[in-house]
Amino acid sequence: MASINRRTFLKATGGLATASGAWWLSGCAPAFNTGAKKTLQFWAFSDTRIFWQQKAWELYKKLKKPDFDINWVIFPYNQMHDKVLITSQAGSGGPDIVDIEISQFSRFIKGDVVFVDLGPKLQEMGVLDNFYRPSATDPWTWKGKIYGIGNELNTCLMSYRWDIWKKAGVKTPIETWDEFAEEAKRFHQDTGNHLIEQMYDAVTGGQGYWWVMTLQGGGGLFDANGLPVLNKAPSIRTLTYQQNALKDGWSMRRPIGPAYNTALSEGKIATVLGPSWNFSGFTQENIPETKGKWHLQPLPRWTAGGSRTATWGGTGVSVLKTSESVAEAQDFVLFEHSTPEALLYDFAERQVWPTYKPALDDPRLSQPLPFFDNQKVGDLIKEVSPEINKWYNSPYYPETNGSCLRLGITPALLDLKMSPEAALNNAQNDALDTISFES
Amino acid sequence: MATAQARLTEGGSRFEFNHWWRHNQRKFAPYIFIAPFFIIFLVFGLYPIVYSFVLSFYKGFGFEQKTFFGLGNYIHLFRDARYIKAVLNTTEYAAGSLFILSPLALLVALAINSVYVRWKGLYKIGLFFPVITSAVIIAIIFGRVLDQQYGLLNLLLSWFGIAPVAWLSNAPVVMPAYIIMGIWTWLGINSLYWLAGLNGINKEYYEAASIDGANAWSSFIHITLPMLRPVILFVVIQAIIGSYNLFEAPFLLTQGGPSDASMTLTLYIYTQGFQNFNVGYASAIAYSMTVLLLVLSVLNIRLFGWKAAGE
Repeated sequence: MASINRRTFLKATGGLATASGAWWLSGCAPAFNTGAKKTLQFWAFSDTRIFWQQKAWELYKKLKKPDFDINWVIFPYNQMHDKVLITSQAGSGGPDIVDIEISQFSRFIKGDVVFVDLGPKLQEMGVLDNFYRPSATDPWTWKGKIYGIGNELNTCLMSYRWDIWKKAGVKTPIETWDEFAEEAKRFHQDTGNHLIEQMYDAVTGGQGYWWVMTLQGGGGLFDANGLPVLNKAPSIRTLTYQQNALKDGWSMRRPIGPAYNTALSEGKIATVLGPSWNFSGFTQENIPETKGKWHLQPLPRWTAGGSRTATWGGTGVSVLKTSESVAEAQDFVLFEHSTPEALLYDFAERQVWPTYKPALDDPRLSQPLPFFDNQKVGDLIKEVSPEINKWYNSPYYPETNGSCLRLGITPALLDLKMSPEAALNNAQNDALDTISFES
Repeated sequence: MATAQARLTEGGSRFEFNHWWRHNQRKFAPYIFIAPFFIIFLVFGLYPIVYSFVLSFYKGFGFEQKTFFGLGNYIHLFRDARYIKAVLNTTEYAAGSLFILSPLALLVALAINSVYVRWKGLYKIGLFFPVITSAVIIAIIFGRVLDQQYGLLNLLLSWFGIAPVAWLSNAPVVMPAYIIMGIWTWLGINSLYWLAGLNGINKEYYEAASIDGANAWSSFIHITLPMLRPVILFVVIQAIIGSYNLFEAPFLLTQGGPSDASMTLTLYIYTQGFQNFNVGYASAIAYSMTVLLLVLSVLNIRLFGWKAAGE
């Protein structure tokens, strides 16, 4: 056996260290294609959400025979958004296409926007007016440019336990929020239970119902210039309504964690507001035993002729400016969002109604649904979706959203002596102060 | 001809290098071996530390679009109610670690160290388990333990006739809830620190004291505590530094709420840096935390460490 002297050992170790270092550092380098066919990187945070996109990609390949491929990478939610932010700042190492959750979008439009404006391509395709824009493009629009597109319509409805409502003699459908309050008071007196609960801080769902009812009433977080409008009349009206509900005892604060699902299952809370991911997704997942016990109706109106719905939440798809394949990435993203067959995959998988109007017209979306006692939910969604009010996003979403919750909603719903108007004024001033410091 | 000349020159340089290397390799080889650590530390440790200090004097979005702001970020700290709230919350947690957790851990260590306790190794292993459990898992477990309606803690309190407490949604009790969680998590490892200290005390001191008529309490006050001084210094400093780094639980369970009642310094740094993308201000907060920890550590060294250092 050959002996190893010190020099040989040093050489071997040095070589090994260099090779290991090179291999290790190669992990830090951006992916590149060595073959003729390039691969676009698609970053996402939900494996259930990419299901329809991967099916759409199969369809795209069949129809368009592209000379590129797509590789999906799934990260945890926060990690993915943080990584996109960091890699976009670094200028390399990031994805070509990315799923961006609605509340995270504003981080990416501070200063130089890192996403490609999809507007010109949408105009060129002539499909822009075929979208329900408050859900498809408003959340990802800043200063008139469309930096992302969403397929989730998220039309908000009122979902209620019809078995419990019927037993208690609650009138259906309820037309106005005042009428709802009267019915809820009587329901509480008769049963000791609550028709609805209130979300009041981050762990109970954040702004949630406040947002839905405020947008429905014509309010929102921002004006067209991206500045906060937290203390406008629709916001104050909603918070006052919620606080009065707690003061009068006909509503309760939302229990934290699994206790909320138990309350829904036992009928101690008998109504859910929100879009399909809430009334259909979460409810079916968390309390499947209530199958067939739910009905849906439009949201009660604030005023005669007012909107009967809103939009809440969603995830959009954006193309990074740092991508070397912007044209290809845009083409696929807009294909999947404007091709009814592709969008129907998401309905089949997650019961997501699409933002693209021609797809929403598909009769398969209006089939009776057993979870909702065979109600034709799609028809109802189609009926009220045109009533979703326009809203504006802003680079200051996290600051404003945080102020709204910390100083507006939470104090007013935890301390019932606090004036909702004063609380929202505090929130508005805090948001303006923060923005002034930052800009 | 020219090619042959070039080859000769190349061969000559290689020979010179080999010659030089043979004579100097003993001097340089150690540096080459330790270089990987220093390269990684410089790139991923020192550079971010220095760069974040530079950033703390700038304002703007992200790392690229920034303008010089002088001491503006540091001045703003004193006007920022959220920052002050975060300092107070974190200090409350650190106080819990110092004045509740550490003495409790000492009691546990004294109990385990007692001659009456058997299976000491078993207790040590058991106490160490929370330390090797992921902070995320602990947060999820405590989400259930602290549940207002079905939580174990409220069940326990109900045996004493105490009404259910909204641990995670009632501002005055949310930090105490995290202190309880901290005690469960860190009691074991702190007990082991104390145990190590206790085992290091010469038993002859106790025998001598016993002959002189000292009871257990006097022995504890006059022998155990003074001899534990170096361990006290270590336990206190690591408790303070660990407490000021509290992040996972308030991030996962309450997101700093309700109304910032559980906002901690590290969570606020994350909020400013990654949510608001205000990296300059986030860096200033981080450096203010460094200064705070430095001051507290120096105070501790003055209080508990001077004698140990002399020894």
